[in-house]
Amino acid sequence: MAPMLRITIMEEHDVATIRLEGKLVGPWVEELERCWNTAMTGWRNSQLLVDLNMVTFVDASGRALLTKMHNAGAKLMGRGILTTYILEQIGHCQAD
Amino acid sequence: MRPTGLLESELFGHERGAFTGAISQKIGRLELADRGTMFLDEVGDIPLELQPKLLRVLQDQEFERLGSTRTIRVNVRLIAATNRDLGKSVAERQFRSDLFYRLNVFPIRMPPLRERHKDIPLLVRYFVQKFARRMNKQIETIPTEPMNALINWSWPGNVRELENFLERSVILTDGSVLRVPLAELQPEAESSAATDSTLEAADREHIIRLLRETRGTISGANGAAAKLGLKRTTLQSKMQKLGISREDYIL
Repeated sequence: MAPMLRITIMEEHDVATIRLEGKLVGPWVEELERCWNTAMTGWRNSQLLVDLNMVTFVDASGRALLTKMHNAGAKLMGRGILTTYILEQIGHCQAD
Repeated sequence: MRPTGLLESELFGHERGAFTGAISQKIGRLELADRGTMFLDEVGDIPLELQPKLLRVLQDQEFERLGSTRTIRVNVRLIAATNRDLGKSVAERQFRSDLFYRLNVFPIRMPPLRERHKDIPLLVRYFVQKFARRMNKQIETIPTEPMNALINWSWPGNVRELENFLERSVILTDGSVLRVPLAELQPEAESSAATDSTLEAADREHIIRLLRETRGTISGANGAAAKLGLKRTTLQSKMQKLGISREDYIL
């Protein structure tokens, strides 16, 4: 069984936040995409924030989804040496 | 590794009174994993006397609990791992060849860390973040020099060694820059003992392979000695030194 990922969705003052806790890997990537797509339909005018502060690992497919979300206008935030590195990489991806 | 009896009971289960201390019935792991997947770590360490019982499960999907005559049938997908060279263990008669071939249906070789240097930076960041969170520290930077030292180290203990080393580094770190005890990562001076043992292992493997090919024939134009370019007596003395017996390869 894949390690768990908790996805919490909140909306406040025109900012919608998807908070992730755990490992963004394997089947959870698809689950996050599903949540994102569902939520996007109701949040057309909101800024989307993806909170990765409690994420412990992101695999290649997770990175690809975060890149897609970033390119679609989502703001990604997180701390920790691995998470910030991944976010930097995603930033570079967009610049390329 | 658990003592054989304990391991047997853990895998196959036991009936009440099957042995001293068996105060109740116990369902074994194989039974619990029925219609599922079971991961068997360090399969190369399973005692020889237990191997036929495991082979029977793999081959015929059946076994008996310790102290029982009732045959239990299971359908289990087995994933087994080992850090040993099982082929070598088979050659040394420490592992049954029939079990080895039964397990070796879809082998996946996990290369040692020293063969995948590119993975090291990601693993370093992963472990540093993990330990920093656990110890409530904010580490933001790993300087280039220590990172390069980590990448270039041979990590004989593989990921476990890297993980423990980084835990130590995080403990030693006070500020936001990871403090790596670089003195521990001095370039490896390969000991002559290690080299000898590697050469010996290679020699051994080569001789055994040729003995298999020649079905234990040493002398003559098609014998192992000729194929190795050695005199018969030289090969015989080498085999004696390495503990190889030609009788094991005569079919």
